[in-house]
Order: sequence, then structure tokens, then C-alpha cells
Amino acid sequence: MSDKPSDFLKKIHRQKVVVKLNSGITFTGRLAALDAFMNVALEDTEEYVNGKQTAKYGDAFVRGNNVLYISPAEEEE
Amino acid sequence: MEKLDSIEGRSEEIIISKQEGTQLFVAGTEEEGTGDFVVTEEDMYWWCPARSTGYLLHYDQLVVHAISRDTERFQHPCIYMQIEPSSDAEGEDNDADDDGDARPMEVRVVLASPDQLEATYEAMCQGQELNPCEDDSDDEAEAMGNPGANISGGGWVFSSSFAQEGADGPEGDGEGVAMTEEGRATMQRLMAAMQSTAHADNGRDGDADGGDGGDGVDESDMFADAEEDQ
Repeated sequence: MSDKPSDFLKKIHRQKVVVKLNSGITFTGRLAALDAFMNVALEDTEEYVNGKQTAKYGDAFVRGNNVLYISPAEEEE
Repeated sequence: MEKLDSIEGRSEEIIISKQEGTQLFVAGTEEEGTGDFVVTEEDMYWWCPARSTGYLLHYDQLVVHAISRDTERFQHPCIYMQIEPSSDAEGEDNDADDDGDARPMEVRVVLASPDQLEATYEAMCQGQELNPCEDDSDDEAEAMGNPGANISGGGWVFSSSFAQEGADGPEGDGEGVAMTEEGRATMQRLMAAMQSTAHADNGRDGDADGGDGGDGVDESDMFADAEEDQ
């Protein structure tokens, strides 16, 4: 891989990611879109609080200023 | 979210979507009456004409919005929202669903028809994009020097709904990732943050590419503590 940031983004596009909010709530889902304000659009979203799943949504949109991080979901095999 | 006594002052707002005959649930409690759920470029509001009352919501209070079809959690398909009170507004306590952790205020809008959920959701996404946070601590927009630059979708890295100018990014890779220079700068910062999170728990190599900083950012400094494995 040529290790450019855009490669990483291409890699996580449509992949399952973990989005953690400043409040501590975590969302996982397929990354549909991401912009420079860190607004995140997800599909097939699940919400977790303290490790427990608390909700499921279809499409979800997180306002960027609430995002602590966006990370690929772990895929241990 | 604040109470609304009148919508007379709102006629100048540019409406993105308006749904009539909607029900509003605030913190699990149904608001009396049916009303219009209006998404404008400036804000959103729910207005019940019969009772001449409603609620106003600003985009900077909207933490998350989603389409909820999980009828186990809530009996109707709806637009789900998590609201963060503004500094002067009061957030209502969510006593309907107290799992021990403080949950943000939850607001749901049940539309007259669930077929309209996607359109309403998209309208709210548009509104969010038009109203990014200008003063968040990341200072991304300020660092870029042009807070408004990415609003009309030029800053979207990729999006199925907002497919943007050019399948070719600045690097001409033709893979559908169109990035502005500001976007790339931000993504590098994102990368640095993500590398320290993701690095420890998977087998991926650190992205230490010292030689490709064509836009003035020295990437070798950014990833100085990552593995270099070329």
C-alpha cells in the first residue's frame, strides 16, 4: 500500500467503523460518508453505551464536533 | 431545544423539507397534537398549528440523527435525534429510559408515512452540512482559513448521496475520492489520531510515508513514532 491518507480513507469507505463521541457513546456501522468537519454518515448503525448495545438504526448522521474518533472496527480472525 | 410560541418570524427561512401530520416525542413522552416538522437551512422546528405551540432546534444541538426502524425500542419507525442542550437552554431529563448512564435528550419524530423517513433524514443531513460547527476545539475550519469552503459538498471525501466534482481526486487516482486541499490536510490529522488508536490492535503497518507530502505537510514528523515498513 502506498500509505497515503486517501488510501486509508478508501480502505475504510463502506467498511465497518467505530465512531466514538465526546459523550462516550459509540456507534458502529458502515461508513457511508465523511467530510472535513468530521461529520460522519453511517449505515446499519448500532449504538453502544459502556460496551452494551443500546440501539440500532438504519442511516445515522453524527455532527462532526461531537466526534472523538473514527476507527476501523476490529476484524480479528 | 426551546419552546416555540410562533412561527411568524420564520417565513424567510429556506425550507429544505416539511412534513405535515407528524408526532413529536420528547424524552419518550408524546407531545400533544400533530404538527409540521420543518427542516430549513437555518434550523429545524416542530409546529402544532392547532395548539399554536412547538419546538425549535438548532443544528449545533443535534448530536446525531438517524432513521429508526427498530420497533422493539420504540413502537413506530421514526426520525431519531440526540439533542445536546445549548449553553443557555435547559435539557429535559430522560426519565423514561434511565439505564444508569446519563443519556442525552432523545427526540423522535413520527411521520405521517414511514416512506418519508429517508427524505426527511437526507434533508437534515443537508441542514447539518450547511451549519458546521465553527468554533469547535479542533479548529479545522479555522486552520484551513476558509470555514465555508467545504459546505457545498466540495469537502465530502466520499458519499453515495453527495457524489461530488470529479471522480479524480487531486492525485488523479480516479477512484472516486475527490478531496480538496483542506480536506487532505484534515485527513492527515485524522490519520495521525487514528493511527495511535488503531496501531496497537491490528496487524496493519503504520503509515509512515515520509516522501509524499506534496502539500506542505511534513508527514515524516507526523508519523515519527509509527512503524516504518516500506
